[in-house]
Order: sequence, then C-alpha cells, then structure tokens
Amino acid sequence: MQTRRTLWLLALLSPCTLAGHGLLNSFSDLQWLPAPGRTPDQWNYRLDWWQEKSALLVAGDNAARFTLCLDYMREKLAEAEAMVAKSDTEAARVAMQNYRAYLDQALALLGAALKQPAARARLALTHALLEHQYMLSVDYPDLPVGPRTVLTALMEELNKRYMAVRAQLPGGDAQALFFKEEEVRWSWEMARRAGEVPP
Amino acid sequence: MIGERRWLVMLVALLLVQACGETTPPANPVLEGQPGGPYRMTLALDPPLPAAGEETRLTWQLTHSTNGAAVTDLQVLHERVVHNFIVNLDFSSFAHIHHEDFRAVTADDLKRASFTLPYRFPSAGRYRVVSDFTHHNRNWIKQFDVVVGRPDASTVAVADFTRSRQVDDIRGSLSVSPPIPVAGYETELVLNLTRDAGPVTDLALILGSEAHVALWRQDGQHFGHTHSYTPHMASMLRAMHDQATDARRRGQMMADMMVMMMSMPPELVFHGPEIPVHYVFPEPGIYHLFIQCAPGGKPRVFHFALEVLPWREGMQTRIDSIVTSGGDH
Repeated sequence: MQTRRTLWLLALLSPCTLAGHGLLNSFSDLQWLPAPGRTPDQWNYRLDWWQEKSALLVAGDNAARFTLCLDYMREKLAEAEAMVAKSDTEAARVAMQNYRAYLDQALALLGAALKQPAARARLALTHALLEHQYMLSVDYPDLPVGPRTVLTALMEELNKRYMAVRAQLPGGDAQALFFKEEEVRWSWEMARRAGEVPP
Repeated sequence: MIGERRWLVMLVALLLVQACGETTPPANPVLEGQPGGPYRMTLALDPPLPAAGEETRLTWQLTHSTNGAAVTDLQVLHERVVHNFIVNLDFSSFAHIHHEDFRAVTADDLKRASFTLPYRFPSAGRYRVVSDFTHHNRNWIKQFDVVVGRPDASTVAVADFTRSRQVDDIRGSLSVSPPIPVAGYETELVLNLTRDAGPVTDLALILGSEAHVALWRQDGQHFGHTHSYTPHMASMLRAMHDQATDARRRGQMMADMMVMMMSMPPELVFHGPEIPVHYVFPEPGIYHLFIQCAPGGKPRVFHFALEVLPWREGMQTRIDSIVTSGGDH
C-alpha cells in the first residue's frame, strides 16, 4: 500500500526533476574513465603490472600509494569495460581481479599511517566507489549483452564493499552521501532497463 | 658571411613568429564537450575566434561515442531539445538559450542531431557553455570552454553575497534554509518577488517551470540546473528518505517516475511572490546562482552568490521548508 502510494506520488512529479536535470547533479563533473591503454588480451600486459608495482614501491609515502591505488582502479575498470566490449570475458576477469587487488591495497592503506586523516581518505574511497558504480551503470547498456554480465557481478560487489567503507565514516559524512547513492541506484536501474533491449 | 646572414634571417623570422604569437589570441577549434561518456558532443564556432559584441554562430553536433552515429531520437524536455547555458567565468554575464529561440527544429536537424544559434558574447573573457539534453529518459550535460577576444588575465570572479537584487521593476530576495548550506545535504532556496513594494502574484511559466536555476561553483565546476520545488516533489523526497522502502526498490521507483513523467504537461503551481527551489550542492565552495523567472510573463534573471560548507559536527542540516508536501501551496 505504501509502495503504491509512493508510486502515485512519483507520477505527479514534473519530468526529470530529481536526477540530472534537477535536484541531483552529483556526477556532472565526473572525470570519465581513462583510455584503457594496455589490456589483458595483449602479450605485453605484464609490463603494466611491473610499472604499477614499481611506482607503488618508490612512492614517497602511504598517501601517495593510496592515490596511486585509486588511479589504478580507474585504469583497471577501463580495461575491464574494454574487454567486455570485445566480448573477451576472460580478459575482463583479469582486469577485474587487478581492480580488486588495488581496492584491497587501498583499504589496507587506510589502516596504515596516512598523512591525511584516515577519515578523509576513507571519504575519498567512498566517492571513488560511487563514481565507479555510476560509470559502469552508464556504459552498461552499450556493452554486448552476454559478456556484460561479468560487470553486473562487479557492480553488486562494489556496492557491498562501498557499504562496508561507508559504515566507518562519521555519521554526518555518511549522510552527506545519501543523494549520490540514490543517483547511482537510479542510474543502475535505468541501465538495467535500457539493457533489456540489446544495443 | 653568408652563414651570418642566414642566422640573421632566422633570428628575424623567429622574432616575427613570436610577435605574431603575441598578437593572435588563442583559437577555438571544434570543441569537444566534457565529461566523456556514451555521447560525444562537439561545438563549432563561426568565426572560430569570437569577438566581444559581434555575432558568433554556435553549432553543436551530438553523436554516439561508440559508433559516431548521430543521436536521432532526442527527447524534448522543458519545451526544448537542447538547453544551453553560457556564462562568463567571472560570472558577469549569463544566458539560457536554445536553437528553437531563433527557428524551429526541423526533421533534418533532428536526423543530423545538429543544432545552431547566433550569440553575441557581451565582453572579452573566458566563457563556459553547458549543453543539456535528454535521451532514453536520462539527462546529460556537456561542457565547453570558449575564449572570447583577449581576456584580461587579472580578472577574477567576485562573489557578492547580498541577498536582494533589483532587476527592472522587480526586487528578488533570496532566503536560504539551512542558513548555511552544507555539501551533500538538501538546501531550500526561496526567491521572494516584489513589485513597487507589493508582492508579485502574476508569475507565468517560463519553459514549463516557474523558475530555471543554473548554478556553478566559483571555479566553474559543479554545474547544476534545477527548477521550482513543488509539494509533490516534497512528498517524493519524503518517500525517498523512507528507509522502510528497500534501497533497490527506491531506485526502481525513481526510474519509473522518469519514464512516466516525460509527457506530463507543465503546471503553474506557484503564482508568487515565493518560488521555492531545492538543491543538493555536491561539494563545498562559493556558488553563483542565476534564477530565471517570469513575473507578469516577462523573463528576468536574478544573480546571487552563496557559500556552501563541508559537513562538520554540530552543523544544522534541517530545512525549515515553506513547502508542505502533498497539497497545493
């Protein structure tokens, strides 16, 4: 009954008054995913791994390592999307696995001594995880129908991991993410619906 | 001797090139809209080096990023196919402008997803053009930076925090709740309009809404475009905050609403003197707001500046709203 009432209320709203053209514009300045560069289906992909490991090793401090992990997560996500676009799900899984590795490393660094307060770094990670979910949801309808299911699983996993990090934020900081989270949910729902029709 | 002359000629040529560089303002080639994503939008300027006060033709083209095909099935939102906002980044001028303001959109324009209009940039400076379009029930924005004439590098944006502005015969006063907006939380902005010290009660719709609000943070980031906040929206927001509803279900309901509402006719809810607007400022900073409304049917733009703070322990985030949910205002 409550849901029906809510739907009725929704029906009375003027068009697009909430997301995008309206109240919520959380992602209007989003820095989109970079070009994928070397991808896991290339023979020299291992070079990327070495370069990244070396950069992390020589980074000046944990804060610099944390920032590098966030950059590499974006890169791995771009690689995963590029591999799904080529219907190479095995290569996409490799990129996703690397993404998870950098996410784990970023989380581990949160527990280590950072120059910036841990709360601020944690907040940066929650923003990054929301942005990654948003970009996946936007790109999803344009990806091939079968292979993109690997990204559906990643999306669900990201949401769970986001919620875990969010739970450690001070109450007011977590509450300030409410509308961004709603926009991600809405965007993902729109993607799933658009995805019902093969691109 | 010949060698010395050759060096002399090269030196003169070098000086000439440098001199030319000093006198030629930076060019605006075909501009690529940002951020990236599934759509690519370009903006071409004619002339490519616009001069202040002279007519420049702006032509946009929208294609799918994946295959370069024109986006042929754009949706009309608030009576226009593409809404364009042009602001001088010192916030001294603002325009909300559309292809349809000059001539009707033809089937050929839609087929090519190409839209054009003439514009006179009022002064030299660095401008941001934001284009806002709707496709598959989702709204998107693309931003372009345009250099006009020879901008004065020393010009900086100045924020005037005065909460009352006179435009022609209309005074617009802005009230804000909470009194200091907090990033990530809702803020209610209420524009109160008076004419000859009496309340304005003859507000008309402008492009399907009582108000169009375009805003930017002072560094040109975080563009937003929003409209009047109706009692029905208040009900929706209340439902959105209802934690008893499953999170995924809330996303589905929002998506349902978007799909259902695309063809709803515009409705004048607020006749004046107050127009409430709600917005969630995404990040802290100083924001410039341009509120466009039409008292007596004549469009006017009120410019305000607001400071938005990051959340801190003990801050007030509660809104004392003038809008009651569910009923008429």
